[in-house]
Amino acid sequence: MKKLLITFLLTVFCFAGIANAKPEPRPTFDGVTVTAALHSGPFVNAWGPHVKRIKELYGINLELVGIPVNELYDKSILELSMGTGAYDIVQYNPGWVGDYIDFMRPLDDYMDRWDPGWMDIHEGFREWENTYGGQRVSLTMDGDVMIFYYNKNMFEDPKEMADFKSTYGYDLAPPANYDQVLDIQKHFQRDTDGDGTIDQAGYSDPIIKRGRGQYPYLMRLFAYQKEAGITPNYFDPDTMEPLINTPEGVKALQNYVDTVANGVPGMLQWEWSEAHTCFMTGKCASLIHWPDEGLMTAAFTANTGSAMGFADVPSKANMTCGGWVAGVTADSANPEAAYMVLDYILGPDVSTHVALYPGGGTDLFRQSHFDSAVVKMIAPQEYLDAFDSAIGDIVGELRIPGGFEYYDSLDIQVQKALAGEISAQEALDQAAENWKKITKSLGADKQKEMYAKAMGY
Amino acid sequence: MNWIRKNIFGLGLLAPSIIILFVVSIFPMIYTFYISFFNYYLPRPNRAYFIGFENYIEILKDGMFWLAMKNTAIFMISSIGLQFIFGLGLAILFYDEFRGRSAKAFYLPLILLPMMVAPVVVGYVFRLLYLTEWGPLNYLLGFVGLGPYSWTASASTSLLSLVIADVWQWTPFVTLVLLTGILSISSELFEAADLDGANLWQKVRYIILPLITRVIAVVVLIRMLDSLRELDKVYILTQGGPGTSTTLVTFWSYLNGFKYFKVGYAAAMSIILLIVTIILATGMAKVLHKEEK
Repeated sequence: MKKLLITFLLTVFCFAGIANAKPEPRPTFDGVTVTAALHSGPFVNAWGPHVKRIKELYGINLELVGIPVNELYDKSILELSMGTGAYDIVQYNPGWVGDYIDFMRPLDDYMDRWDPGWMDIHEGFREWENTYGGQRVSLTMDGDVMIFYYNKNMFEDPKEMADFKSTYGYDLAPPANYDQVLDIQKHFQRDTDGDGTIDQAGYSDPIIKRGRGQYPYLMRLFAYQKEAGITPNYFDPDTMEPLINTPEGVKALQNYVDTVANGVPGMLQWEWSEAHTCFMTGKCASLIHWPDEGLMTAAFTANTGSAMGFADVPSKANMTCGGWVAGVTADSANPEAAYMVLDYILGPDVSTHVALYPGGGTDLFRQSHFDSAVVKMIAPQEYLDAFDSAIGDIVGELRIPGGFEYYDSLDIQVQKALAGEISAQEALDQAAENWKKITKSLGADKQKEMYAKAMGY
Repeated sequence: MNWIRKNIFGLGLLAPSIIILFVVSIFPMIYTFYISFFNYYLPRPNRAYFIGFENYIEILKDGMFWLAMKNTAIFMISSIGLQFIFGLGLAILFYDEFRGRSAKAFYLPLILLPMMVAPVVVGYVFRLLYLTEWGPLNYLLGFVGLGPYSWTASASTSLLSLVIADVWQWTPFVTLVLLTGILSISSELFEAADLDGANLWQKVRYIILPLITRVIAVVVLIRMLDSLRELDKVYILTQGGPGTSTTLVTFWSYLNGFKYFKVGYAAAMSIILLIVTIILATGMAKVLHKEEK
């Protein structure tokens, strides 16, 4: 009954938002077409219901172009670098900004004239995601951050707790570091139906598959760096020497390899949905994932009979592991109109509805979202607290030119180690060599300068 | 000038084809060759600069390139080998059908179906078939006590997974070409062999294989060139992983060109691949020429 009521209220709220959002007086652009390149599926779906209202308010014909997430970077960069003017708005990962920046329009002038609720964007995202070289170039559109989720029934079962303590010598609880994650993985790894195949895991990383598999490694790297008293970093900011193959880096990758090896068969190919499903169906006792699951506690309890637990990620070394921002392209023929679209959809009023749109892929990213009565009704306070706390621990993405290639070349080596082709040390030595080559090819001095800017040194 | 005036009509007819060929094939090839000498990073097109043969030297020193070449060679040899064995078997089977029975009208089009499916679709279909927990392949293997296998999630089986998908898709093509070759052999030879009491293997060994060598060379050459540019199934099924176990050379070239935007580097890799292709094609042409003599 409660679930039904929440669904009803959510639906009413979403559609009421479309009809009632009243932005401040803004200019109109009758007949102007604005084209936005968005992550196909969730973001296109969540923006779709607002197209009509934008036309009514501003006279803008908003066209949404959906691009599969794995092609978003290359398709938009191709269009932008060729100067085709195909897109007025592009959605991108803040980690790619080093490659996008020459093609994006600074938004300071517009934001000064028509405030998009800048200060309402959660301070954990506001500056580092949206400013570059001292200029505001984008608006946050998705509050990505990692949360440690766990199955309370499994974690609070007296027998499990006793067994765990007798084996590992400390209490079963959300892990304080990644060594404990591995213990949890081993403890809950089981063949529950006795068919000779492991079908239950203690833990899953958010994404392991080739493509974005570097993120779980980087989170571990930053965790081990923090534990060693080192400020989390990709490079030594003075020399641009990669820090990925340091002793902390090797420990991080070895932990990642061991954790996956002690999971369930096929885990190497897991992406967002497999990890999500594993946890939501009770096949994984815990999970580090984006904030989506916290709004699905009813479904989780219905599936597993357990309450969902929330905690900080180990060592409080967090990342957005992606994250999304949107900006106006430099070659847009109608930049003001494009800005109005961003201002409307990502502004305080409407973005709450976008964030709550079922399957819209947008996580809370404004302070007003966290304060919203509807959000508080749907999401447990424990989740909102964990979410809010996690945002404060974010280590920024690698926001320098070639960011994508740095990540991808690291991912290749990480995957080789995960697949058992080479050792953690060999993989990271090779990755570090590749990073040096990339830095050299893009100009070491320039990269050093950009890195300092990106990391706020 | 006179020659042009005399042949103006013919040249006019040829012009559209020549222009299209130049625009879509010759000019891009020349331009690819040209930019292969530049450090050209697509997000910074205005900052491209000439670096001579540096891209080529870097590629030849690039461990990933050689690993990708090795993976491509393994993929090519195993895939074409299996396609040839299955293709020849099916061609012989269908040859018998062609000699009298009418079931060919039903079975031949049926067996050609995989060839009609777009490689991307094949990738998606096999991605479902290979799922570790819910995949039909593991389900069926379970009945005979095998598996479950992490087909595309294990470095030891991922390349095999690609080979199986490729064999499924292209064996019909090999079958069709070999069948055409067998059909061109005079039936008198088979009748004479029957009178002499030759068994199937002897007919294959002493009649079919020697007489269709050129057909075999052609089909192997076509499949070799196809294998060299295999990208779709890798992209859909494995993204080159786990690790680098299924990173074929075209996928590595694609990553450099369209993901890392190192356009000059990727162009140099394409030129190297072109040279490899020419060497392979020339080798096969020599085999054909030898047979003709």
